[in-house]
Parts: sequence; structure tokens; C-alpha cells
Amino acid sequence: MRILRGALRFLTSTSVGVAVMAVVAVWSLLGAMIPQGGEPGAYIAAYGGMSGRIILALGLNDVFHSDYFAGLLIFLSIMVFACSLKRLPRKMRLAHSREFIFDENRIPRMPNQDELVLDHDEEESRLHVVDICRRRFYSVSHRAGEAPDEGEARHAVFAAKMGLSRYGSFILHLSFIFLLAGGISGTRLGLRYFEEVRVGEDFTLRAGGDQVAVSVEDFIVEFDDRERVSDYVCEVSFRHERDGLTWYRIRPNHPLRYVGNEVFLLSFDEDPYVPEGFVMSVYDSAGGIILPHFFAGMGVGDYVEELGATVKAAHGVVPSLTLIFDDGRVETHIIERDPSAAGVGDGPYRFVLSYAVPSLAVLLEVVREPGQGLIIGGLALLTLGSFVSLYLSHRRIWFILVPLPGEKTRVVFGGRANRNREGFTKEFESIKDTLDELS
Amino acid sequence: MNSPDLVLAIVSAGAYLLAVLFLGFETVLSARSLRPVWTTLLAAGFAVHTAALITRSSLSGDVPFTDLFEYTLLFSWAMVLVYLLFFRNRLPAVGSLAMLVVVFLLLGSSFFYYSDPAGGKMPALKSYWLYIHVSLAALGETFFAIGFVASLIYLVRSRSADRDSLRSLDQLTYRAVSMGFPIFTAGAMVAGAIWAKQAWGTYWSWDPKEVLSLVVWLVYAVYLHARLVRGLKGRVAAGISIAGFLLTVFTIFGRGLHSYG
Repeated sequence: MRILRGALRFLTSTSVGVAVMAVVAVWSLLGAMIPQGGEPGAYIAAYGGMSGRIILALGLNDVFHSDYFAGLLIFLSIMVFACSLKRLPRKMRLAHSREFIFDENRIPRMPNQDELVLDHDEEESRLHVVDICRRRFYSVSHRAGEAPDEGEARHAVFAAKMGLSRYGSFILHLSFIFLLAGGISGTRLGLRYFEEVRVGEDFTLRAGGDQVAVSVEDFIVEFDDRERVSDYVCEVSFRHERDGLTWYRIRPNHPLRYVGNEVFLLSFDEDPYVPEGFVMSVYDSAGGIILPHFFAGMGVGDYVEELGATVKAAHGVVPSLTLIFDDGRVETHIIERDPSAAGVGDGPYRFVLSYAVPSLAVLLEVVREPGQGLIIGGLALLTLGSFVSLYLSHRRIWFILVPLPGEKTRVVFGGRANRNREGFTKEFESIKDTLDELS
Repeated sequence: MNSPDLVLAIVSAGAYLLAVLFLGFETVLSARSLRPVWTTLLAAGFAVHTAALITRSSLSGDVPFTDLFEYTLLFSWAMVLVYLLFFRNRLPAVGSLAMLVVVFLLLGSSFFYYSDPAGGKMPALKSYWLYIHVSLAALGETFFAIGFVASLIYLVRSRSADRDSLRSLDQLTYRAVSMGFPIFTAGAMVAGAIWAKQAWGTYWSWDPKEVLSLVVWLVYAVYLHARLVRGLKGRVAAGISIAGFLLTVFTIFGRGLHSYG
């Protein structure tokens, strides 16, 4: 029992919490400054023998995927939550309790206090006090009682608002547990992989227990007037055994959601090894130019009127063209790299390569993340908790109404707020001024 | 150098600098008559600064959020706005130093980070989360900047100034940090994570800029935690606030997946 109590005291200690937060901060900072995931030799080369070895020994070359960093984050989350749980009963008491004060000696100890004599009897004064507070959105309750020493009859009024503020840190700390649980379930139970595909290629996807063939049907890149990429979109088709063929468009920032999967268009790149086609000049056998800037696509058979044939490019050991003439003849020509080859040879045409047009490979990311609800919940709690704990202030005002001879009432009142004391002081003064008008 | 947004940014820096000079003269010479001069210069500087932002937007055809020059222009503008809205009646020293930071940012970004306004926005940035993420993060960081300025003055004066003046500086730092922290949380951490999920498929990828933002968040969380639970004040609190803002500056200039500028 003693060990358990000691462990709980350790877990809920503010100093330990701050120390762990500081360690996480320092370690994260080191992880941000030192390039992550490099080869061990690279650290020795970049930082020198001793420093490089220290970096490797401390695991600073891969901080964020290390078990000890994950352990530190889990420990921190458990700590802050344990801390919050420990303080919760007190916070609940503070947020909801209605404390009536009959002893005037307790009022001067409050940060804001004052005293007035109202020209009304006790009941009327109480109604005014309640009304003034309610107009400022306070929840008000009152009770009749006696002074502790003399037993003099009097009324106590308690006004409070924004008690929710007391739960701010609890909500904030709870968010860590949600985020951690979401992160862990996403890492352990989810799936994330990348597919680099060209137009016409496909890959498979698991969706609700079925295999779905995903084919990249088209990829459109838009350029602005300065020839810079301004937008791109990928058209994909999903072939599902039961549902048939469905077409979708995926854009950056607009992932596709499909039966528990999310497909993201991350980027695109030129594939240097597989060209989309060739741009060339076409000459006749006498060296006269027929087509100065002719594009032939890989495996795409386009009919070219000037040549009277359907033309397909291919990329084997050397770039080549296949010409299928109207009469059914098939000719294969090498696309010459040397411009001097123009006009040399026996065939009707010469093809001289200008440049190869690289093909574009699209980088898609497929994600299945079962913990998303927890993460969204955690992010919502994080926002709510930080605003509630720092922007709301639990304001409480205690009034003691003592009847005086001649239908007058002495009102002694004091108040406190847990945040924005300046704002509370202004409100307290305004309540005092309104009461003053009744005196 | 003759781009109107750049000229307006430099003119506004000049107006702020003159305002700080006159504020200094007023303090040193106890000449209250100089107050209208520096307040007019400050207002004029802010008006020109606003015009610089509007001009930049009209030239680029979008909100000025996308590169380092635009971010600094926006950040420094928000800093003046936050100072004028929440802290103008506090301490003149804080106002002067805050304006000097603004001048430094404006001139630094104008001379070293100015970019062609017709640069266009890359496809990855075409999301409404850009506006939420960047504007809230900048606003939160602006409050941290005010806290940094107050803490810096606190540390410089901690041996010579009277207790009331130090308490005001300490209180101002706390006020600025406690106002900025929820906004930074919502903007940099939460909106950033949601946008990262939409763009990259993951809420968190341990990118250097994300990590630095987390470190900034942790440093200010430590500050607030220690202050609210343990009542931490004084030089240590000021030191944490200064460290937090210096890390914020690192975060602003950090790259990684956030290489757009």
C-alpha cells in the first residue's frame, strides 16, 4: 500500500511532470536539429568520431521512432492524466459547491471586498443583490443564518459563474490520453503504404475484405503562365467484384475515402527510366525534312497522315519506332541519336531523336487508420481544454446581508476569480457601483 | 526594389522607428507634448503596414500567407494589432521594444526574403486549412512575442527596477502567454495536424517544423503549468518565456515538409 501511495505521489508530482516535459522538449529539439534516419557512418563523418558515436549511442539518429521516446510520451500522458484525476474531486467541489459565508471576518481575506449600507430592508436588498448578479449571468443562491459569535440573524448570498473553467486542465490532460490511444491504435492496427504508379498501371487495395483493383486512368497537370505547376489531379478507377467499375478524382488536399481506406495524392515525379515517348525530326531519304517536331508515344498507336502509317514508339536497348502502313506492312526503325544520320540510308524515312519525354509517376498513399475518431476527439479536447482553462475564469462572490434599524441593510461582500483577476475586479467594481445606487 | 508592397513595408518600418524614437524622447525628457506625435506615427505606420498587406494580396491574388516574406509581413502586422488592442496602455518600454522587433522583422524580411508576388501558390497549399492554420499560428506567436519583449525587459531591469514595475512586467508576460497559448494550440497544433492529415495522410510526421512547434508548445505548457500550479514568477519565468519565443523564431524559419517559401 505504501509503495502504491509512493508511486501515485511520484506520478502526480508537478516537479516530475515539468521535468518529463522538459526532457521531451529537449529530446525533440535534438531530434529536430540532428538529421534523422541516416546511416551510422554518416553521423561519424558529419559530427566527428566522438560526437557521432554519442549521437548513435543515445539513439539521437532516430529519436522519434525509438521505443524510449514512445515510452517517455506514454509516461508523460499517464502522469498528466493521473495528476488530473487526483485533482478532479477538488475541482468538482470548487466548481459546484455553494458556500455560504455568515462570518464577516472571512471577507477581508478575499482579493476583492467592500461594504455598503442600502436604504432597503433585508429582503428587498437581497432581491436587488440577486437581480444584479443574475443580470451578469451569475448563478445565485441564498440562505438565512446567524453570525457565528453573536447569533445575529442575517442572510448569505452566493453568486458564481463559469465553474466550467475548473475542468479546463482536466479536459486538456484527457486529450493526451485520446491522442495517445489514437496514435497507438493507428500505428498498431492501421496500415499505411505508398504506391508509385504511372497512367495505365494499377495496384490492389483491400476494402472490406475484398480485393479492389485500382487503376490510374489519367493524370492531368496544369501549369500557370510561367510554366510552373499550378494544379494536378489524378483520375482513378476502382474495379470491385460486387460494385463494378467506379471512377474517382483525387487532388492534393482532397483524399478519396473508400470503404475504410483513404487514398491521398501526395506528389508526382518524372520517371527517368521509362519515357512517355520521343520527340524527333522525320526526314525523307533525300534528307528533306518531313516533320520537324514529331512526338511518338510509347505503345500508343497514332495514325500519322504524313507518313501514311500508324506509329508506336518503343524503348528497348535503343529507342525505336514501329510503323504499320495502310497496306498492312510493318516496319521497325531505330530513332537515331546522331543528327548526321539524317539523309543516310535506304528506307523512305529517317528519324532523328530530339529528346525523350519522361513519363510521370504519381505517388499515392493508402491509409487505414482505425484510431482516427480518438485523434479527432483528442484534438477537439485539446482545443477546448486550453481555451476553457485559460480564457474562462471561475468567478465567485459572497454577500452577507445584515439588517440594520430603520429598514436599512448592511451588505458586506467579497469575491475572487481564478483567472483574469483584472477583468473580475472591473466586474466587481461595477456590481459595487450598481449596489451603491441603492444606498 | 520598386514593388509597391515592398516600398510600403519599408515605409511602415520607418514610421514605426520614428514612433519609437519620439516615445523614447517623451520618456527621457518627460515631455507629454510628444505623445500625439508618436501615436500619430504609430497609427500611420500601422495604416501603411495594412496597405502593404492589401497590396501584396492584390498582387499575388491571394491572402499573404504562403512564403517567408508574406508570413513576416503578416506576423509583424498582427504584433502591432495585438499590442494596440490589448497592451497599449501597459508599459511604454514594452511598446517600444515590440515596435523595434516589428521594424527588425519588416526590414529583415524586405531585404532578405522578398519574393515575387506573382509567385503563385503551389497545389499543396490550396486548402482552406492554410488560412486557419497560418492565421491562428501567427496570432498565437504574436502574443508570445509580446511576452518575450516583456520578459526581456524584466531580465534587464530585474536588479534595478522597483518591485511594482517588475510585477507589471511579469503579469504582462503571463497575460500574453495565457492569451496566446490556446490560439497557438488551436492554430499550430490542432489545425496543423488536421491539415497534415488531409495533405499527407498523417496527423503527425515528426517533421522538424512540427517537432519545433511541439517543443514551443511544451515550453509554454511548462511555463503555464509552473505558474498556475506552483506560482512560478520572476527571472525563471521570464527565462522560460524568452526561450519559448526564441524557439518560436526557429520554428518560423524551420523547413522540412513545410518548404514553400
